[in-house]
Amino acid sequence: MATLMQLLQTIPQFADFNQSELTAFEKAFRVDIFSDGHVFMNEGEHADSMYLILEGDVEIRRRRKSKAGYALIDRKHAGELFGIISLINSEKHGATAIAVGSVQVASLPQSAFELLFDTHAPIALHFQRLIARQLARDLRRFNRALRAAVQTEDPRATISTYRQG
Amino acid sequence: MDISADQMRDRFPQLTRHMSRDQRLVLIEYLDARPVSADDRLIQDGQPVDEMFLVWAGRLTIVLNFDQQDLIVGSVGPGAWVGETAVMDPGPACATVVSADDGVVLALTTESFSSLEKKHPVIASLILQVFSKGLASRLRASNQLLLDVLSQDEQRNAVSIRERDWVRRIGEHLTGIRD
Repeated sequence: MATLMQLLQTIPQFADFNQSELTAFEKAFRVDIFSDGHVFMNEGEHADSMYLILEGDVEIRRRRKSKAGYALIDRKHAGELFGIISLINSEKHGATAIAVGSVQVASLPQSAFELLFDTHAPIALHFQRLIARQLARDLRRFNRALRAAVQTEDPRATISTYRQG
Repeated sequence: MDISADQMRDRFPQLTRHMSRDQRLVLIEYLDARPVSADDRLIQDGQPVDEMFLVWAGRLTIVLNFDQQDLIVGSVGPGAWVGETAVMDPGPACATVVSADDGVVLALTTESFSSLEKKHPVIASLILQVFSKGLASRLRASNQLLLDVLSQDEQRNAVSIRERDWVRRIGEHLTGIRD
């Protein structure tokens, strides 16, 4: 099995991280492999970790109000983070995250996240930038999807376009 | 235009909440105070943008441009900011920002922010924390509102998109007018 360091070196989002930064991440993150259907986080539950996908896909779903089941909001791929919104804002999870097939993730508990900020400020800033960039991209993607929905005159197109990226 | 550390704290309490007086003074050095007149276009929807604006005085109107028509989402005033997605991830603007009246904005370019990150990582980190929290809230609220719209739509079996009310409401969250 490849080490976290080796995997991080293959992820474009980490291309500008130097060796000492990657080493600090290797110490802070815990790597696990999960099978298809594994629930990483449940909508409404307290947030205690954020996750970086190393290999595989994770679906982000939200409960429907009007009928049973879930709406598929997003599909995250290798190199993307999930669980960040609730951890940043100290809120309960707004969505459920489920493994699609076998997924390898690196998890960062909130305590390790805070410790990283206390002990490795420049590295934490770099990681913070990574989080901010993903949030900005997600927001921009949502904005594009909203326009697609207006053009097709179908609100449902917002989610399907958002998922497609 | 000279801005003191105390003025910066009073005008932007949310942004500067965890900054010391000295840190606020450093931040001011990286901001470019610019007078604006009514109808000045600061950001054009869909066009590349490499700076954000803190509103010092006056109001800025935020507009989403669609093929057929523009949708005025709302306006922001002193103490608010617009365009931070560009600083965090340079790319096309998500909305048009026009000055509603005469005022003053403090511009922060991506270049200035990169320089701030290198020379004053703690201040940059404090700013990123505030921006990230804001973006996270906006994303969550937009998602929730969209699901509410879809849910109502399923119940009524009718699409209200022509009224565009739901688009405006989601736009409010997306652009940060409403948290």
